[in-house]
Amino acid sequence: MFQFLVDSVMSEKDPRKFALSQSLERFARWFSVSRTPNTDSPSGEEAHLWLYDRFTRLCDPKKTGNRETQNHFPTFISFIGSTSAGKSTILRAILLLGLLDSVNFSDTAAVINLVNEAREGRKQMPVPRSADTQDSSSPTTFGVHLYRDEGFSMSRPLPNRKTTDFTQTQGSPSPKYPLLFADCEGFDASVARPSGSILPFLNENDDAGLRKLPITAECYGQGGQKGVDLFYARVMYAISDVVVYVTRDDNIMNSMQKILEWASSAVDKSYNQPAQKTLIIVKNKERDISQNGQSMSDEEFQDLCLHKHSAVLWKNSAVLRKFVEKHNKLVDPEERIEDNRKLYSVLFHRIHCCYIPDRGVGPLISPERAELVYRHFQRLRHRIQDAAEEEQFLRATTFAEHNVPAMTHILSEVFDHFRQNEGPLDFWLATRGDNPTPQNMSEHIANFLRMTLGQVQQGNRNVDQDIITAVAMAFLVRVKRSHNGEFNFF
Amino acid sequence: MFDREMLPFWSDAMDMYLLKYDRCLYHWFPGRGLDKVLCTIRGRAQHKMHIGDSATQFQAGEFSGKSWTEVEKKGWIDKIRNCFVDMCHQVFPVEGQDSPDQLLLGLRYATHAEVRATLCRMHSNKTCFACLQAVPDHVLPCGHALCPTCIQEMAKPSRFVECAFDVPSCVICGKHNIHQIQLKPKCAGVRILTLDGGGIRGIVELALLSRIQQEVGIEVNIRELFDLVVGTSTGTSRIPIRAT
Repeated sequence: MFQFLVDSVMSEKDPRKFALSQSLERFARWFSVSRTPNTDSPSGEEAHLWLYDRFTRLCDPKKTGNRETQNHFPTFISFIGSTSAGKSTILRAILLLGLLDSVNFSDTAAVINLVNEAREGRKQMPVPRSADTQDSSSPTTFGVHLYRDEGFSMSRPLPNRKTTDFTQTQGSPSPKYPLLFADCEGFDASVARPSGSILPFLNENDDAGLRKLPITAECYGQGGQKGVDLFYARVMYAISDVVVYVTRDDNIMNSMQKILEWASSAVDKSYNQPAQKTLIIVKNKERDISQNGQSMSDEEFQDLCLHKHSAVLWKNSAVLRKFVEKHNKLVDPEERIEDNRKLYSVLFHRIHCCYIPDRGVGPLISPERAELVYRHFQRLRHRIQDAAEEEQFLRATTFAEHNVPAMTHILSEVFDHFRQNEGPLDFWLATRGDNPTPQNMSEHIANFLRMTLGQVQQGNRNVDQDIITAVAMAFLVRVKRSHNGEFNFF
Repeated sequence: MFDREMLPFWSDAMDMYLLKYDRCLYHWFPGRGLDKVLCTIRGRAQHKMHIGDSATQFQAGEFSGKSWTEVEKKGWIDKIRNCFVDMCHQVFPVEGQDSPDQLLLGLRYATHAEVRATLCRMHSNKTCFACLQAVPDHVLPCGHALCPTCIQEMAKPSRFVECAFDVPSCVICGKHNIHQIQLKPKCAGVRILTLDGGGIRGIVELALLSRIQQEVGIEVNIRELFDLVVGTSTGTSRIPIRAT
């Protein structure tokens, strides 16, 4: 069984089936950036953002606006890394494990049926690399593809949610927390030769929900492939709750530098955003998994990745050095970045490291090896779920969780901002903090405080007593309304 | 009752304000002759440094917004509780006095007059300042808006028009401006008239609407039978024609 499962996430050997899977996968595309030659532009090319209605199709397929999705709070999990690091393969495994949540694992026939359905394209999943060895370094993903997890995490309530009574409104009694996995184009993907079968699908008439928007901000539009990567990094960092960085590089320091550079190019580009991001570093196809003859635990691997560097990570990286210098100038002395630990905490709320063992060379995989690989995939999935839950919990306790209608608005603001503006995105404005729509009495009072205390900030008189009187009166009116005129206050 | 039913609303509102809306009050001058830059960070938790209006100017420093320590929070709660209890005593029925409804109405008018200096400068189409618990639907000529429940509770029912209420003056700012607000009957849904586009062919719709009004034969303009009129292309240009 483990052999079958591990094989099912690996390469498709039949070129016909591979082409079919790829043709179906175009429907999973969420957005991408294309560069076309333009002699009028100073850089000789122009960039366009191709935006599909993928988010709406996944989160609000009936396009109800907000009737059915008001209590759905999506979490974005981005898979990033260099081209051919194995992002799509690992994401396919994670989604497959989510599918298997719905069947009894000991029911072999049911598991096989489900996996075969997924392989035949009836469940949308990323398409891993072709088994064609000639094609081993070309990217499989163009742009960013989005997938919705079908595991149990979709309907599991968060413990002790502070805002439960705020968000539970009529028509949608139980909150849901869909996990949305974004499979990103690899770093420097377009420099590599793109798979011939991928680019032709980028067609204006491809989908009714497609919008083609010019990228006018110079740093993205005229920055060549670096500009495109920067655009992806900033958009993905702004909206993701969990970032999964997949690497095959045996040089851990090199991998760490790359992911920290990616984050440092984006961290200052969105502010007034309460929740931070969790980073999960996944070393794919790890061969040397033993130390002193024992399998390395994830904790040991984490220690190796994060704390066993002989030098500070920004020493050999101009991008990180610039970031650290700028940061240290602006923050209080105790907040300065002096060591690697501090650098991690500035860029990410939490960092976890794990690895996926190499399945070995050759067409057949041994049962023991298959089980080991499967267990590591399973551990990674649990880690992602836990991280997503923790981020959602943080959001809930800081009044920063966004339901599907709010997220639709935020995404539109994020794309519009980054394609037109090089500056940072104010999340407070993107989430309509300046014009909130209260749903209950607490939110109405908070909105009232925002407006009255905003007057004080503009230099007007002290309004504390007026607030106290107005709020006490509002409570009295509420008592009268809710008790239907029965005045029994004490 | 206050601690059981009302305190959670206030505590959540206070936490929400401090985390989401409280703005850092710090400002600085980026150079000689240049305008003042205001920090735009909202909420102490998000503040790592001061970020200016244009978001390209930064300055080191701590958050300097509203500081509500636990003691201050408790102080606010005590004050609101005391005020609430005082108000309850004023409207609690005592034999021989007016009904609680009448007393409450009088107290509401008196309270709004007391806080008028603060409220009259603010306008919101998201929060009804008269009750702080609903979205206001009806805007008065002064720009203040009230929710339907407050209109029903505080305005006089019209003697001539069904489901209409006469508002002699604004509850929020006290401006005298006689205004009639038409509420929807309880059983009514939302009535929307949609007008298609189509260039010159739009005249067909106009003629049709005129004919319907003529055939119905009552002295009510057709626009008064709808809550919202929307149109596409040439349809939008006919909205004002129908509305007038």
